[in-house]
Amino acid sequence: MVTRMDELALITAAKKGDLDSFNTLVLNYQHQVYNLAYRIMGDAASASDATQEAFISAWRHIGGFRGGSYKSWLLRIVTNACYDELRRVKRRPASSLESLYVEDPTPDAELPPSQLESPEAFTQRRELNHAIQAGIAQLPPDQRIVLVLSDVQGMSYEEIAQAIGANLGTVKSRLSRARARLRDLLLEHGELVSTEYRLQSEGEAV
Amino acid sequence: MAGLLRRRTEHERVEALLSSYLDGRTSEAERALVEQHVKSCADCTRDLATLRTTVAAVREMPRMPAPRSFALPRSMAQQPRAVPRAYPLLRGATAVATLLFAVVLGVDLIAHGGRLPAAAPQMAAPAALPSTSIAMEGAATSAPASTPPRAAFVAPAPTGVAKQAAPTPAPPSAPQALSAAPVLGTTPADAAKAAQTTAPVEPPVEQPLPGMGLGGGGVGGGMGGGAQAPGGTVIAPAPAPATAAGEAATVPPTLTPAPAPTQIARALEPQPPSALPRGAPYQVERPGITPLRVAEVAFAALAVVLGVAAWVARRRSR
Repeated sequence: MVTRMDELALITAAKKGDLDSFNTLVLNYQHQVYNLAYRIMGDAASASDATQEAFISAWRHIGGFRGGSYKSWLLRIVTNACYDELRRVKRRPASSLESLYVEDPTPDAELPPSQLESPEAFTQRRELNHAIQAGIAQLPPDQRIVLVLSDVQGMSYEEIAQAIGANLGTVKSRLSRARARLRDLLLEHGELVSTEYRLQSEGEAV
Repeated sequence: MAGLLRRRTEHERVEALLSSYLDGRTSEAERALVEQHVKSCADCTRDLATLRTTVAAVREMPRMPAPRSFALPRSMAQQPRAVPRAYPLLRGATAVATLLFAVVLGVDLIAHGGRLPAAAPQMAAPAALPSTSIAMEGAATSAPASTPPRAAFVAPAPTGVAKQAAPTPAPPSAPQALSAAPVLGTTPADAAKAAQTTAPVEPPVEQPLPGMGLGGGGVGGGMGGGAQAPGGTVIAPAPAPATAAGEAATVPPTLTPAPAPTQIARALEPQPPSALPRGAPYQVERPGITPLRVAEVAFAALAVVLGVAAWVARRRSR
């Protein structure tokens, strides 16, 4: 992990054209960036493209970074890269829940079940994650990005507003609509029932 | 009724507030409204619960690690120069020139479209215009516009001139000229040029040259410059002038007075070949040259030059 002091030094060096310094920053943030891109884009290939684009763009524009949070600055670039990528991909018709299962086995599947988790619960959790990802993919880009920034990335309303260049009210309403729509999709798919059950039973167990 | 209405709007307001409420991002008043409403509204109670579950489930999703290093390669070290400021300007200017060309061409087509003044060669018909229609107007043979040089070559000049000087079949030497064509290029325009260049050797026979407009229009059309080419009025040079004509074809901007009878002189107006759009030359002053046509060529050439300049500017910055 790069400390804040280190980060400033790296940014300064990168601004002078030191690619190694910039790459240290890349390695430090690439998991966050990729995760964000993955959740927005919904598949590994597009997420990789968007991540790559974002870092290239960041490198090109590092001179324009005027201080503040490098992470916010970077995430804004990623968000824009995802917007572009979404427009470019122009959606092979919005991936249905089923196609996602078949065509895009996410690496979630590789996460081993924890010892506390029964095999059924593990399977359930996996399916739920697939369903969520597929549900996110059905949201319009504006809503999708706000939802991911908020609930996957854990950004505050203010940070999101800054990242997408919108005001707080817009962020709130987009997030509200995105969550409600995702909830409805999950309910339609019958996923939430089991989750609720799972969450409830977990709650009881504790 | 009023109560129901109020209740309904309240319900909708609360629904919209649930998301912010979950994040603790409502005002005091809003929070109170939500909590009080939820107590008495089964729908909202359920919605709040499912929304909470949904958000929790999204937050629980595993983090996806980057599948590879996204460190930039050494080759990226050189920060690229920005695209020159002139680029958008060039782009815009190209568009404007193209537009002007299209407008002038349109005006010309409308003004002179169907008619063929005997003295003035017809506007080149774009390749889309099948030569058959011209052939009906003009003379005997019809060569499909798409046919390569040969057909175009043999086709009699489909213009007023052709009518006047009833086309004689191409002399034996014509095929020679033809055979040279493919070497120079496959485009009919080039072929025509080739024909011109070879022409000198030929006997002073009136020889219908390809309607450059027929074949050539198709080629040039793509560049924007070609459609201008005067129709297939070309009559191969008689006695000596062929050399002059050949030169004119290659050395565009000069006005080479052809030492031959006017009919001949009128003959060769090479069409700007697609590779050399600037060279839309006028070999000879003649009645067929109207200000409109000059404008057409000028705009077409301008559009091409600007387009190339923009392309180069853009490329350099990469």
